[in-house]
Amino acid sequence: MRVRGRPILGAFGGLLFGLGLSLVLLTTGVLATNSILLVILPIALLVLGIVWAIIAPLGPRTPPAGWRERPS
Amino acid sequence: MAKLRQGLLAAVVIAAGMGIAPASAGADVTTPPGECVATGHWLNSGQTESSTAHNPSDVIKIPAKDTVQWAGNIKGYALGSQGPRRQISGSVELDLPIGSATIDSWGKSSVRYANTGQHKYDLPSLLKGIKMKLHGHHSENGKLVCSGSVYMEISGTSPLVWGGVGLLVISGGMLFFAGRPVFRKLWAFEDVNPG
Repeated sequence: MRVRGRPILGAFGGLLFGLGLSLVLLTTGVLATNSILLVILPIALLVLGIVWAIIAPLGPRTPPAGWRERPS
Repeated sequence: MAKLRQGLLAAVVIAAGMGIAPASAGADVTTPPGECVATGHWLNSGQTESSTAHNPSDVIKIPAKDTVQWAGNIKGYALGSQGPRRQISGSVELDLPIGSATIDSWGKSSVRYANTGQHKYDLPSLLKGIKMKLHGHHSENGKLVCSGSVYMEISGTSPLVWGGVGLLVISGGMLFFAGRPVFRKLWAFEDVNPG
Protein backbone atom coordinates (compact mmCIF):
# COMPACT_ATOMS: atom_id res chain seq x y z
CA MET A 1 0.00 0.00 0.00
CA ARG A 2 1.27 3.47 -0.86
CA VAL A 3 -0.15 6.43 1.02
CA ARG A 4 0.15 9.81 -0.63
CA GLY A 5 -1.95 12.73 -1.81
CA ARG A 6 -2.26 14.18 -5.28
CA PRO A 7 1.11 15.54 -6.41
CA ILE A 8 -0.12 17.05 -9.69
CA LEU A 9 -2.93 18.87 -7.90
CA GLY A 10 -0.37 19.90 -5.29
CA ALA A 11 1.93 21.30 -7.98
CA PHE A 12 -0.84 23.38 -9.56
CA GLY A 13 -2.14 24.43 -6.16
CA GLY A 14 1.34 25.45 -5.02
CA LEU A 15 2.04 27.35 -8.22
CA LEU A 16 -1.27 29.25 -8.05
CA PHE A 17 -0.74 29.92 -4.34
CA GLY A 18 2.69 31.36 -5.13
CA LEU A 19 1.30 33.49 -7.95
CA GLY A 20 -1.52 34.74 -5.74
CA LEU A 21 0.87 35.52 -2.90
CA SER A 22 3.22 37.36 -5.25
CA LEU A 23 0.31 39.32 -6.70
CA VAL A 24 -0.97 40.34 -3.25
CA LEU A 25 2.51 41.31 -2.04
CA LEU A 26 3.11 43.29 -5.24
CA THR A 27 -0.20 45.14 -5.31
CA THR A 28 -0.05 46.03 -1.62
CA GLY A 29 3.41 47.53 -2.09
CA VAL A 30 5.19 45.03 0.17
CA LEU A 31 7.40 43.92 -2.72
CA ALA A 32 8.65 46.20 -5.49
CA THR A 33 8.55 45.32 -9.18
CA ASN A 34 12.26 44.45 -9.14
CA SER A 35 12.03 41.97 -6.25
CA ILE A 36 13.35 38.53 -7.18
CA LEU A 37 10.91 37.05 -4.64
CA LEU A 38 8.17 37.59 -7.21
CA VAL A 39 9.80 34.82 -9.27
CA ILE A 40 11.08 32.66 -6.43
CA LEU A 41 7.75 32.40 -4.55
CA PRO A 42 5.72 30.64 -7.30
CA ILE A 43 8.57 28.24 -8.10
CA ALA A 44 9.29 27.45 -4.44
CA LEU A 45 5.61 26.94 -3.65
CA LEU A 46 5.20 24.70 -6.70
CA VAL A 47 7.90 22.43 -5.27
CA LEU A 48 6.45 22.69 -1.76
CA GLY A 49 3.02 21.83 -3.17
CA ILE A 50 4.38 18.59 -4.62
CA VAL A 51 6.18 17.74 -1.36
CA TRP A 52 3.02 18.59 0.60
CA ALA A 53 0.95 16.26 -1.57
CA ILE A 54 3.49 13.44 -1.30
CA ILE A 55 3.58 13.70 2.50
CA ALA A 56 -0.22 14.14 2.54
CA PRO A 57 -0.49 15.05 6.21
CA LEU A 58 -4.25 15.68 6.20
CA GLY A 59 -6.77 12.98 7.04
CA PRO A 60 -6.46 9.33 8.18
CA ARG A 61 -3.35 7.37 7.28
CA THR A 62 -4.83 3.95 7.96
CA PRO A 63 -6.34 2.07 5.03
CA PRO A 64 -10.10 1.61 4.76
CA ALA A 65 -11.70 -1.58 6.14
CA GLY A 66 -11.24 -4.63 3.92
CA TRP A 67 -7.94 -3.38 2.45
CA ARG A 68 -5.56 -6.20 1.64
CA GLU A 69 -1.83 -5.80 1.25
CA ARG A 70 0.20 -7.29 -1.56
CA PRO A 71 0.99 -10.92 -0.71
CA SER A 72 4.61 -11.45 0.24
CA MET B 1 0.22 51.06 -24.64
CA ALA B 2 1.57 54.36 -25.93
CA LYS B 3 -0.72 56.18 -23.53
CA LEU B 4 0.51 54.04 -20.66
CA ARG B 5 4.10 54.71 -21.62
CA GLN B 6 3.46 58.43 -21.84
CA GLY B 7 1.72 58.41 -18.50
CA LEU B 8 4.47 56.42 -16.84
CA LEU B 9 7.11 58.56 -18.45
CA ALA B 10 5.43 61.69 -17.18
CA ALA B 11 5.21 60.17 -13.76
CA VAL B 12 8.85 59.13 -13.87
CA VAL B 13 10.15 62.43 -15.09
CA ILE B 14 8.18 64.02 -12.39
CA ALA B 15 8.77 61.49 -9.71
CA ALA B 16 12.41 61.19 -10.50
CA GLY B 17 12.05 64.89 -10.54
CA MET B 18 14.17 67.44 -12.22
CA GLY B 19 14.30 70.28 -9.94
CA ILE B 20 15.38 73.44 -8.56
CA ALA B 21 13.52 72.99 -5.33
CA PRO B 22 15.30 73.21 -1.99
CA ALA B 23 16.92 69.92 -1.06
CA SER B 24 17.26 68.00 2.15
CA ALA B 25 20.90 67.62 3.18
CA GLY B 26 22.77 65.26 0.85
CA ALA B 27 19.65 63.83 -0.78
CA ASP B 28 19.60 63.16 -4.52
CA VAL B 29 18.26 60.38 -6.68
CA THR B 30 20.87 61.04 -9.37
CA THR B 31 24.51 60.05 -9.65
CA PRO B 32 26.68 62.10 -9.60
CA PRO B 33 24.51 64.19 -7.28
CA GLY B 34 23.25 67.42 -8.82
CA GLU B 35 24.52 66.67 -12.31
CA CYS B 36 20.93 66.45 -13.61
CA VAL B 37 18.07 68.01 -11.72
CA ALA B 38 14.32 67.61 -12.16
CA THR B 39 11.16 68.83 -10.48
CA GLY B 40 7.47 68.23 -10.93
CA HIS B 41 4.44 70.06 -9.64
CA TRP B 42 1.03 68.40 -9.78
CA LEU B 43 -1.54 71.03 -10.61
CA ASN B 44 -4.62 69.32 -9.12
CA SER B 45 -3.14 67.77 -5.99
CA GLY B 46 -0.65 70.56 -5.37
CA GLN B 47 2.17 68.06 -4.76
CA THR B 48 5.73 69.06 -5.63
CA GLU B 49 8.63 66.64 -5.96
CA SER B 50 12.28 67.16 -6.72
CA SER B 51 15.18 64.86 -7.52
CA THR B 52 17.27 66.72 -4.98
CA ALA B 53 14.78 66.08 -2.19
CA HIS B 54 14.83 62.29 -2.34
CA ASN B 55 17.16 59.33 -2.00
CA PRO B 56 17.08 56.31 -4.37
CA SER B 57 15.39 54.24 -1.65
CA ASP B 58 12.50 56.69 -1.26
CA VAL B 59 9.02 55.84 -2.49
CA ILE B 60 7.34 58.77 -4.22
CA LYS B 61 3.55 58.50 -4.27
CA ILE B 62 1.77 60.23 -7.13
CA PRO B 63 -1.89 60.63 -8.10
CA ALA B 64 -3.28 58.27 -10.75
CA LYS B 65 -4.71 61.15 -12.73
CA ASP B 66 -3.43 64.70 -12.83
CA THR B 67 -1.57 67.30 -14.86
CA VAL B 68 2.04 67.81 -14.01
CA GLN B 69 4.25 70.81 -14.66
CA TRP B 70 7.76 69.45 -15.05
CA ALA B 71 11.15 71.03 -15.46
CA GLY B 72 14.63 69.61 -15.90
CA ASN B 73 18.14 70.79 -16.52
CA ILE B 74 21.74 69.77 -16.78
CA LYS B 75 23.93 71.22 -14.02
CA GLY B 76 24.77 74.87 -14.63
CA TYR B 77 22.05 75.58 -17.17
CA ALA B 78 18.97 77.65 -16.40
CA LEU B 79 15.58 76.93 -17.93
CA GLY B 80 15.36 78.03 -21.54
CA SER B 81 19.11 78.19 -22.01
CA GLN B 82 20.83 76.65 -25.01
CA GLY B 83 24.37 75.51 -25.71
CA PRO B 84 26.50 73.82 -28.35
CA ARG B 85 24.67 71.09 -30.31
CA ARG B 86 25.62 67.59 -29.14
CA GLN B 87 24.44 64.00 -29.48
CA ILE B 88 22.19 62.92 -26.63
CA SER B 89 20.78 59.57 -25.60
CA GLY B 90 19.07 58.09 -22.61
CA SER B 91 16.21 56.05 -21.32
CA VAL B 92 13.83 55.50 -18.43
CA GLU B 93 13.25 51.88 -17.48
CA LEU B 94 11.07 49.90 -15.13
CA ASP B 95 13.12 47.34 -13.20
CA LEU B 96 11.66 43.83 -13.16
CA PRO B 97 12.78 40.73 -11.20
CA ILE B 98 14.70 39.65 -14.29
CA GLY B 99 15.76 42.44 -16.64
CA SER B 100 13.86 45.66 -17.21
CA ALA B 101 11.26 47.22 -19.51
CA THR B 102 12.00 50.46 -21.32
CA ILE B 103 9.31 53.05 -20.71
CA ASP B 104 10.89 55.63 -22.97
CA SER B 105 14.18 56.45 -24.63
CA TRP B 106 15.60 59.42 -26.49
CA GLY B 107 18.43 60.18 -28.88
CA LYS B 108 19.54 62.38 -31.80
CA SER B 109 21.08 65.81 -31.24
CA SER B 110 19.93 68.85 -29.30
CA VAL B 111 20.97 72.37 -28.35
CA ARG B 112 18.73 72.45 -25.28
CA TYR B 113 20.31 71.88 -21.89
CA ALA B 114 17.17 72.61 -19.87
CA ASN B 115 13.53 72.10 -20.59
CA THR B 116 10.08 72.47 -19.10
CA GLY B 117 6.59 71.40 -20.02
CA GLN B 118 3.17 70.29 -18.89
CA HIS B 119 1.76 66.79 -19.20
CA LYS B 120 -1.72 65.52 -18.52
CA TYR B 121 -1.87 61.82 -17.67
CA ASP B 122 -4.35 59.17 -16.56
CA LEU B 123 -2.73 55.93 -15.42
CA PRO B 124 -4.60 52.57 -15.35
CA SER B 125 -6.08 51.66 -11.98
CA LEU B 126 -4.39 48.25 -12.21
CA LEU B 127 -1.07 49.96 -11.43
CA LYS B 128 -2.30 51.56 -8.21
CA GLY B 129 -0.44 50.56 -5.06
CA ILE B 130 2.38 48.83 -6.94
CA LYS B 131 5.84 49.91 -5.87
CA MET B 132 7.71 50.43 -9.14
CA LYS B 133 11.48 50.68 -9.22
CA LEU B 134 12.47 53.06 -11.99
CA HIS B 135 15.90 53.92 -13.23
CA GLY B 136 17.13 56.21 -15.93
CA HIS B 137 20.28 57.58 -17.50
CA HIS B 138 21.29 60.42 -19.79
CA SER B 139 24.39 60.51 -22.00
CA GLU B 140 25.89 63.22 -24.17
CA ASN B 141 28.36 62.51 -26.98
CA GLY B 142 28.49 58.92 -25.76
CA LYS B 143 29.51 59.88 -22.25
CA LEU B 144 27.23 59.17 -19.29
CA VAL B 145 26.18 62.48 -17.72
CA CYS B 146 23.92 61.18 -14.98
CA SER B 147 21.88 58.22 -13.88
CA GLY B 148 19.42 57.70 -11.13
CA SER B 149 16.72 55.54 -9.65
CA VAL B 150 13.75 55.90 -7.36
CA TYR B 151 10.66 53.98 -6.30
CA MET B 152 7.32 55.28 -7.52
CA GLU B 153 3.86 54.30 -6.34
CA ILE B 154 0.50 55.38 -7.66
CA SER B 155 -1.89 56.27 -4.83
CA GLY B 156 -4.82 53.93 -4.31
CA THR B 157 -5.52 50.20 -4.34
CA SER B 158 -5.26 48.04 -7.41
CA PRO B 159 -8.22 45.76 -8.25
CA LEU B 160 -5.56 43.12 -8.83
CA VAL B 161 -5.39 42.70 -5.04
CA TRP B 162 -8.75 40.91 -5.16
CA GLY B 163 -7.51 38.71 -7.99
CA GLY B 164 -4.57 37.74 -5.80
CA VAL B 165 -6.83 37.01 -2.83
CA GLY B 166 -9.09 34.91 -5.06
CA LEU B 167 -6.09 32.93 -6.28
CA LEU B 168 -5.01 32.32 -2.69
CA VAL B 169 -8.46 31.00 -1.72
CA ILE B 170 -8.80 28.72 -4.77
CA SER B 171 -5.25 27.40 -4.54
CA GLY B 172 -5.66 26.93 -0.77
CA GLY B 173 -8.57 24.60 -1.50
CA MET B 174 -6.52 22.75 -4.10
CA LEU B 175 -3.69 22.30 -1.60
CA PHE B 176 -6.14 21.02 1.01
CA PHE B 177 -7.36 18.25 -1.28
CA ALA B 178 -3.85 17.57 -2.52
CA GLY B 179 -2.75 17.00 1.07
CA ARG B 180 -5.36 14.35 1.85
CA PRO B 181 -4.07 10.79 1.59
CA VAL B 182 -5.24 8.59 -1.24
CA PHE B 183 -4.94 4.83 -0.77
CA ARG B 184 -3.76 3.13 -3.90
CA LYS B 185 -3.56 -0.59 -4.27
CA LEU B 186 -0.17 -1.60 -5.58
CA TRP B 187 -1.15 -5.22 -5.75
CA ALA B 188 -4.51 -6.67 -4.82
CA PHE B 189 -5.00 -10.22 -3.66
CA GLU B 190 -7.60 -10.72 -6.37
CA ASP B 191 -5.09 -9.80 -9.06
CA VAL B 192 -3.02 -12.91 -8.40
CA ASN B 193 -5.86 -15.16 -7.27
CA PRO B 194 -8.68 -14.62 -9.74
CA GLY B 195 -12.00 -16.14 -8.79
